[in-house]
Amino acid sequence: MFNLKYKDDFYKLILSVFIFGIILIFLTVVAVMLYYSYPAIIRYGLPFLWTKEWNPPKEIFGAATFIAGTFMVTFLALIFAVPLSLGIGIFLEEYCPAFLRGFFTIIIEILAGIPSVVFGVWGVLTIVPWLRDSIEPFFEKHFSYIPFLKVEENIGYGILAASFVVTFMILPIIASITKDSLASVPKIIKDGAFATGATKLDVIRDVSLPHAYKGIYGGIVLGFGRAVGETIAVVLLIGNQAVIPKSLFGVGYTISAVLANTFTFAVISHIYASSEVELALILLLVSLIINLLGRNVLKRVIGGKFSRSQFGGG
Amino acid sequence: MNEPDKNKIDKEDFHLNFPINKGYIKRRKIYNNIAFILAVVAFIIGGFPVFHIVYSAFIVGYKYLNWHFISTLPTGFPIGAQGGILNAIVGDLYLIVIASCLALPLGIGSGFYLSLFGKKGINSIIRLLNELMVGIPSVVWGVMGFYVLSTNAGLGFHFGFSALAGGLTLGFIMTPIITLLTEQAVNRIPASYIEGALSMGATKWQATKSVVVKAAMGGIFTGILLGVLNIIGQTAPLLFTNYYNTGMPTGITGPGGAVGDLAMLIFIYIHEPSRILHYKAEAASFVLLFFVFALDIGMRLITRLTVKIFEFF
Repeated sequence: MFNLKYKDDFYKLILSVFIFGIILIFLTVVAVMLYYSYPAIIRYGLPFLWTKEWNPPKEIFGAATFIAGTFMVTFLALIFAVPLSLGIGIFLEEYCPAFLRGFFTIIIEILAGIPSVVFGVWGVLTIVPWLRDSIEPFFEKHFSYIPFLKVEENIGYGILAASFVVTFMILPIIASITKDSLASVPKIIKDGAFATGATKLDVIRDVSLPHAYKGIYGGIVLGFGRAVGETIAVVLLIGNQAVIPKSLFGVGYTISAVLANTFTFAVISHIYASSEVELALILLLVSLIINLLGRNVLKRVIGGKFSRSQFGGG
Repeated sequence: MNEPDKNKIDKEDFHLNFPINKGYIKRRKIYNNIAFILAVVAFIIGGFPVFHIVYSAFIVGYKYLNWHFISTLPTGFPIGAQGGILNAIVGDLYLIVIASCLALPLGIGSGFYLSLFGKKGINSIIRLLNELMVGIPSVVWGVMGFYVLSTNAGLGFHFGFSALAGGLTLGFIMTPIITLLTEQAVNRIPASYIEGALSMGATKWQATKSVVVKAAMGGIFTGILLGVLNIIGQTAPLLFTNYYNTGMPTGITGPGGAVGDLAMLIFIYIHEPSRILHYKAEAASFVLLFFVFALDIGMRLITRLTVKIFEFF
């Protein structure tokens, strides 16, 4: 493979060491997760995924509460973020005047660069008081008969606060991919539609969106992947109680929050640490599968292009 | 004489036979306007947090935003009630330098390999791995960093909670970003540049040295800045690899090797039941946002400038 007589082969050899470095990093992540979670996987097996109890002193570990919390926060955030970011993508690509487009796009992309701890602080000092003082009393007064909207503790913290903040963290990803996908619609098709007398809405609905929906789907999948792994903002906002939230305003716990809060204490006990690593393994597998799905779709629609928003701000 | 006036007849026919439903057109126009308003509202809701985050960080923390805050170590009780955030700024520099020492050679080298020597198979595999690594949650990187670098038991490097462990973990996060963007930058160079160098008898190393690095400089810098931007706000990996230090580090490994970190400082201050520390967390958020926006703007300027330079040549 390498013939060191030629200078280029030596250069190639050195560069391929770096390539092996990257492969090594990836394999190390997967190997560490598998190796250290192995005792817990053997001991608890598949029921780990649907056992609700998490009791370190009795060595009973089940992740159901945390998995439920994670997916509730993620889906709530997606419910808020998808319509918003579709609107933003459509606005930026179709309705926005050309001379403002660059500036408006930067505003949305800068949102992707804001560190999650700053989002968390903003949530604690802005969103939580707002929910506690305005939103929750309102729902308590008028909608308390709907079980899903019942306010149990009027404290502001909970899955709603967490998903509000996560919404703004995944919004730039979905919005910018929506914008790129809409931009990839050939202009001639759109002009054809305009020539028949269609309004902009008709063109967006009947031409652009059907053409771009795969890219938008890929963006939503990537947003899902980011929301699942979101840690610091969620730790600060979710309330950190190991219960499955029964209402929108309930407190909960997510996988990433458990890891952030208790992993360093867990290390004292072998099986406790192993269970925590199994939680991390779940996160890892979910993120790998999600990204595999999302990237494959995106590669076909907008090529291998990266927009700034796809790399988060931590 | 008796020939009919063609234009007139056509016009009349057109007007007589073409059905126009004025109500229908009006309705579609109204729908279009409603859609426009909804899109604008969505954009305003999406753009609002950017301004409100900066505004609230400034309005709460403005009285701490002075030179004293940036240039002194935290003191007082609870720790940080007096003094500033110098430990965090110095610690961030430590972490960025250590992460760069790992990520720059690894990322730029791999990027060059992929675009200069790559074949279709290996390129798609490495690209996929990088894209997957970008998507791995930061808390998982933290767990991996703890077991590989930090812990003093079992396998691993036994660095302890230290700048080296934290910095290398951040380097793992930074590497795929730099690789992807370096590859993209080199692929964007017109093929004739590299082919021209090679046809003059240059080896690929010489071509890299004299052509690729210069032409792709902007893209590579964009990647580096994006990587730094990404790790400067990371908190979750540092929880398990470097935690926090209120003073200056005495080394980069072992006891005393931990460094402060701006994101970590904010995370710890906001947990404390003390109003002063909450205000200081907001002030520190403002400082962090300042760095993040400066990097972001610098990145955009570099991208713009290199595009201009390309057009110039």
